[in-house]
Amino acid sequence: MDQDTETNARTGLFSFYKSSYKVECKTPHCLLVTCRGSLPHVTNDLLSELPSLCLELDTCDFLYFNSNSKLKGSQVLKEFGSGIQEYCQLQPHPLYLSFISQQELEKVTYSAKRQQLKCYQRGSCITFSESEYLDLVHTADCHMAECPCVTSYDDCSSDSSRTIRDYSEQSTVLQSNFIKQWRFVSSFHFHDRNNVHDSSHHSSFDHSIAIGVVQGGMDIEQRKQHAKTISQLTGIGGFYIDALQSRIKLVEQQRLAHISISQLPTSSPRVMNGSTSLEQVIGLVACGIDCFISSYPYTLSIHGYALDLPHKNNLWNIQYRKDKNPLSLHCSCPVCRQYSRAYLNHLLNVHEMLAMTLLMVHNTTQYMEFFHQLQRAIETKTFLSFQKQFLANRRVNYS
Amino acid sequence: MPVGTQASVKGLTSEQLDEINCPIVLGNTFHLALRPGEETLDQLGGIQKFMSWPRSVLTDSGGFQMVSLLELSKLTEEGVWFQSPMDGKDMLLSPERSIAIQNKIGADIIMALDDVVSSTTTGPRVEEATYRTIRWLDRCWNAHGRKHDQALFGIVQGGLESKLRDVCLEELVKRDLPGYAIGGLAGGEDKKLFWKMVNQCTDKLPKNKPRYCMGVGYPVDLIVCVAIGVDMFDCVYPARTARFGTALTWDGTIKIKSSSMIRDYGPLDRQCCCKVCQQYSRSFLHNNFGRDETATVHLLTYHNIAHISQLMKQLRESIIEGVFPDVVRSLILQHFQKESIPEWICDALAAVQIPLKPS
Repeated sequence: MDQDTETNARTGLFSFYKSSYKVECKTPHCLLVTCRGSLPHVTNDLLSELPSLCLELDTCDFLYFNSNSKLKGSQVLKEFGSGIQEYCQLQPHPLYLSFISQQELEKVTYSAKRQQLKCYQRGSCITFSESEYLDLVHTADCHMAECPCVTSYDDCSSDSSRTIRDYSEQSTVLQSNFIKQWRFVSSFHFHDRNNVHDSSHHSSFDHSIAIGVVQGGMDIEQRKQHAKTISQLTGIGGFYIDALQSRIKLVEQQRLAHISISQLPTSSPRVMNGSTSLEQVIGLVACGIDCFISSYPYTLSIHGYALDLPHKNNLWNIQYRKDKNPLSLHCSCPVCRQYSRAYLNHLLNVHEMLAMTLLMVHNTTQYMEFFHQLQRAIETKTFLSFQKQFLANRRVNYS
Repeated sequence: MPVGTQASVKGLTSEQLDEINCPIVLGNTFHLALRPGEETLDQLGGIQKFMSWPRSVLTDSGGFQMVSLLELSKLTEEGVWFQSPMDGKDMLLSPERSIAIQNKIGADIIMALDDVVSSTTTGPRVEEATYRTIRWLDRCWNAHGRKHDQALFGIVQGGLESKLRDVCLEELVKRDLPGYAIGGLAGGEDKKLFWKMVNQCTDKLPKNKPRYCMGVGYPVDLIVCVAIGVDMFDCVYPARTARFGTALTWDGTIKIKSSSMIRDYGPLDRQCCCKVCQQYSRSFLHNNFGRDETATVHLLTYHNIAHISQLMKQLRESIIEGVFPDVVRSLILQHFQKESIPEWICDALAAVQIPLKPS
């Protein structure tokens, strides 16, 4: 790991070993949000030039595979006979199973009496037990998986410290139980693997990283306390800092990230949501965040934007009607190699589905390039000047 | 030919189409003239360059939109007056205008403007349309400014009346065009009449010129039409049906949304060699399919077009190998495992000496 001297930014290397191959990802890195097992509007063959792309999978998409909540995702995966990476054909991309859904989540509650978790999302509610989640984590066999927790996004800033304490305590109990079970399953599988007759079984579960969820609302003391407690649990390999997503100001997010990070071990990766903007990501990298769960390329694409780092262009604009240039002159993605801005402008105008597909591929490539720029800046100890220059360039675009 | 109405085959990149071995795609003149406009296309180097498509393109004449957008159009001898869906202004699509637009769009094959009537229409209107189609063909030919690099196909009209078809055929053959299309069919008419009309056309069209049956069709229709002597087809069916969650297989169609797919871990079609069938399970496609997400729609579109492409390849090879009748018979029997073979198919194939049942 390389630490920046002027800020808390750092760069490191993730190595994922899975059966016969190894994928390496440098940090800072992004974990792109998927929808039911694919990057929205993009088939996996179009991502072949981005082997180190990491993808986030949403627990809510895979807990149950039919509407009456009878068929568990874990059962389907068991029958399928292999992990979720193969089921969704997402090789070679490292996968991150998030418990805290990135798709319009309202809240997650836990009833100790019934031992039930309830996840409220998009006006509906999914009910499941801790062991069902463990089953999913186990059968999905992702490279990283979040521990279960409770959380609430209904106007968090006004929650009393009492409420926050209750939430944090429940989350701690859930995570501590989960990690004990996780270790149990891991060691169980270790023995399993030595059994010659069962060599085809999931063999890499013990290579998965358990991600603890660090919370504490807006309360400084509680954030510190929760980060400390979670970091002391044995078996946690990384941390997701739950900072209320995008509903608070960037400065406030950075403050909360600082507080949580101050209590976390330096050797473990830190994950946060980074869907809002490139500015948000840069600011949080400066705080010491390594991975960003993000749907930023998707948000850009659905509004017709194409990244042209450090700027973005809206291809709906009539000025691109006869523009023969690629989406970005400095991009080498398959879309830029073949198609013009004029073609994308036309596809948007006539509402062709291909517009979204091409924009997603291009924006994803550019977004990855943005992270490469961050990595290089940290490696060459020029992060602070890179940050200043980048932010200044962005402002020029808007003035 | 898969249909790429607006310079894009629904959701597929040109690389993906190339992988499926699609030799040619169809663009719609009417739509392309509205957006992005033929001037824009001309300035950007023609349609192939615009959509980054290394193979061939065919553009229709815009005549079909006379039927599909009838309420917005008015027909005169000069041409068709449309009310532009963009700005409400009246615009004239005459034979000269249609060819001028198609010259600018720059496809390899262009179509003469015909007077299209719905295939279920009868009476004097059909006769009028047939003769007008011939008159317009001559105007198209005279207006054609790129005879050296764009092949102009004429279209045989005549509705379901075999006398009119004969008149039209005779006039068109006289003109010795680069290719011929069979139009005015595949619009919901009785299949018994449909195959007879196609058969009548293929009997009389010159053997050394391509024959293109417009708007056909379903996989079985393709098999029968190939048997009665058609060379080219276009249809939105494989891509459109994919958007509704239907996959084409050698055993008929399957609905990916059906709950029976949830625990089916096999490919869409075990016999298919496309990339989707090599990789994805029905179970995954079922779970991924949804309103807000189109990745599975793209995968189904890819598979369906690949299916049609494999079907045509198989037919081509069987003709070269001299086993065409056997292949047709086994394809039809496989397709209709669960239901009886429609009478029109038996009749049509019997007419070209491919009896389905051993006599």
